[in-house]
Amino acid sequence: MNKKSSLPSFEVMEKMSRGEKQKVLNEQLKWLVAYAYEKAPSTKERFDKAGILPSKVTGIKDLDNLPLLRKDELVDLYKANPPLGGLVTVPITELERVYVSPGPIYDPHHSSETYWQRHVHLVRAVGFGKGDIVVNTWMYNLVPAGLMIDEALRRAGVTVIPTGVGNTELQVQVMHQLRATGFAGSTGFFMNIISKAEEMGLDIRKDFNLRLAVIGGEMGGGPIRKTVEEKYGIATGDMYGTADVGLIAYECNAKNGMHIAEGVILEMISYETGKQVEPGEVGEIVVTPIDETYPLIRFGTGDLAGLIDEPCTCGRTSVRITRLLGRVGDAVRTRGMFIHPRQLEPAMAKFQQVAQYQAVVTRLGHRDELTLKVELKTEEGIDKEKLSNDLNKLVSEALRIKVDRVEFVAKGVIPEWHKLIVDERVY
Amino acid sequence: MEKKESRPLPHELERMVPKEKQKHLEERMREIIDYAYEKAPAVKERFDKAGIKPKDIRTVKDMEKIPMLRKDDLIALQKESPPFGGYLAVPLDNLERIYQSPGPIFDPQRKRGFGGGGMGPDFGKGQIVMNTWSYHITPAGLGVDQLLRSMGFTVVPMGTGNTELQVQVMRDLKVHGFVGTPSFLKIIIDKAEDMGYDFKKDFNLKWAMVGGEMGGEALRKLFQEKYGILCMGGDTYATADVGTVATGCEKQSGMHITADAIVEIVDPATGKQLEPGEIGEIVVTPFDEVYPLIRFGTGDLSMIVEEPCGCGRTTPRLPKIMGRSGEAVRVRGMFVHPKQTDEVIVRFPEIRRYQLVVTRPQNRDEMVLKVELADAAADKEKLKSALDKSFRDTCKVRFDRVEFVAQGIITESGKQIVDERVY
Repeated sequence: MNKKSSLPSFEVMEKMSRGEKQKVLNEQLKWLVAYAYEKAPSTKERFDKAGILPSKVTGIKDLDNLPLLRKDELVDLYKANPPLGGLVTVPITELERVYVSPGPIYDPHHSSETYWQRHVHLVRAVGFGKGDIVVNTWMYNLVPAGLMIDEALRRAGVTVIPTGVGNTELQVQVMHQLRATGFAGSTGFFMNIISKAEEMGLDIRKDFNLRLAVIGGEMGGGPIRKTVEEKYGIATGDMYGTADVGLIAYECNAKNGMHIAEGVILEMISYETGKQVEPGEVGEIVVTPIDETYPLIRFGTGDLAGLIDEPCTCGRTSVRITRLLGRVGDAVRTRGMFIHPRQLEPAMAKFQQVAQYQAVVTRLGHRDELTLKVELKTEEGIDKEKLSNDLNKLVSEALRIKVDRVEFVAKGVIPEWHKLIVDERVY
Repeated sequence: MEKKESRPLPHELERMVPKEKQKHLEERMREIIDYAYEKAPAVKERFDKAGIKPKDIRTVKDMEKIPMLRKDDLIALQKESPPFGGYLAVPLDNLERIYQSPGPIFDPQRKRGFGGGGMGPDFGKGQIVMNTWSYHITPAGLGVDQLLRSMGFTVVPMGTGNTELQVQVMRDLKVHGFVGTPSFLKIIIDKAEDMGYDFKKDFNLKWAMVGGEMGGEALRKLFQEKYGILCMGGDTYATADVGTVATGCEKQSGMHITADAIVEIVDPATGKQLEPGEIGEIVVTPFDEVYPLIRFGTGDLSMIVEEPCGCGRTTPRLPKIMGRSGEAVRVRGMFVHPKQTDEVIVRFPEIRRYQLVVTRPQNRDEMVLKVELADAAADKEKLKSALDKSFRDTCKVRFDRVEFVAQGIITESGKQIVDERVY
């Protein structure tokens, strides 16, 4: 096998034209596919089953017929071929660490240089660097999150305080006394620490030295981030990744969607057609990171996002995705079509009179019925018949299937926290 | 600090003729003192206050001139000038990590950390180890993780807790080694047996590196004899402040003092060095360019054993940690610790309670052992002489007399040793 050609520096990659970058990545992919085919038995099996010869692969387009490798399948593969599922290219004892993710899945510690090149570049692009003191509240034991981010930050020159999750009061003290400049962790936990600090009589703006909070891991953090920035004067950033492949996207300071990390081949796959979606459309994030220790080729994350293609003002040429819009499993197949909350949301946002809503799919005879339940803010001065028609028309268009009826319900019928689409079919 | 080319490595030092080794150690000691004086403002301050200069410290004996640094002093200094109280000898942003230990006290990540016994980078090749020290906040878990990886082991970062998962991982991955406290390993083995496993047959655990608790000897014996788990290196003694101080060897006859620090055993009251065989406080000067805590008083008690060890290392040993200095009482130059007196009394089932009282009539320390008998019919004279012998053997000092007291004089919650001396 040919030796892997090294990637250009990511500071160069991030400014490359799309065409040029694709050429570089295709070269890497060719090598990676051949290497994984030889070293990782489960990868060989996938390729053989799909009838794809590694030697024929010249770019990601040649892998259209390779079924996605999904998270659920990983669990099965790990069970069938313990301990590493036939997916890791080195023997287990060559790994520096083995992590234990729920399942349990035994995730390998990534040791390839490309992996760390990507992570260091990514945490720097988010805004961390030499001179920063960052409280890392991701969990360090069992799962890869904490140790992976710890190593990326340290390699980027950051001083890390490995606090892990929990001990809110201690977190406040440490952050305060060490004059931490940064925070990494979940949005919810960050807000817990902030409220605890205020409870302890500290003034976040005055008593803390926090400059940047990279908070993620939860959907819908938008309004909270706004509070953090406006009320407390702390910039926020976002990173996206999974335990399996590490970090794969980040927000630059233009805060205009998330850039796909260098060294990662992205596909955005429609859950309806299985094909790459067009810019402006929503698809599943499917990645092939260049990582020879753990080469997951066409890994389906199960996360949905929109694809953004316009160039970013930061000057990086990488493709971007929107914030996460849901999980593949949230879509409900109704009369042959997938309907998804992200389709429903923008349509319903146009109706200011509506307090809450929920689409319910039931089965009457052999037909899927779609009911839109709507709770109004007030019934005063509302022409229900007209509103019902407007709702029906707009939502049917958005979902691309006909809504059977609109039902106005009293307050309390739709619980406060609810799925936007529920499947109540019984077969 | 520049490394000199001809300088022996720690694992070479460990086997050197003591005299030769001392030469190297003192050379490095002088270097770290010069360096710390120059780079760490708090070290300079301590020297200046004591009216000494680095050049006054030529030998280990000279170290006595430097006032000790106690944990409480360090905590106070850190509060005064956060985060490291003037002991950090490198710019703050050169640190990879900052930890916090109970105190609260901050610890920087150092290059010299939780090193062990001079084992090479291939020592752990091919073996999977579960590290059950906590990875969060304190340096224990991450320090050990780094050490194990540097020795070639594959580490599973388990942390503490999740006993059932620990059992599953230990079995699924055919784990070879366990690192953590002896009591946690016992909990895991018990859980495995509860789950119906035959630990010896169903698991692949070959060795354990257990420590961090007093009195682990009994469990180590159980692991070795019942389960065939080799307890590597016996005990290891390390603190969050100075890292590794001493590590056991395959002979399991105490812990060898590390070759990259100066370790003294001193009288906690005066800071003067004690002779081998005398119990005193462990004082450490690590050769640490990041955080040179010169003469750090650990508060832990032990003694130095100089006899050569069967493993071939020539480094002196600490037989075990004998308690905390605050609990011990120094009588006629010897420390007597409740652990030692307990050890004596436990040999005499006819004694129900005891208390050792130290007084100082006419400038001489006097020790009276008060004894409450469980068996009033016991032969008091015989008991006295047996106690005298046993006490002298264990505590290396003699009591003046035994006083038999009635029930109720010694309270249940009373301290084993009471110091009533007035100077």
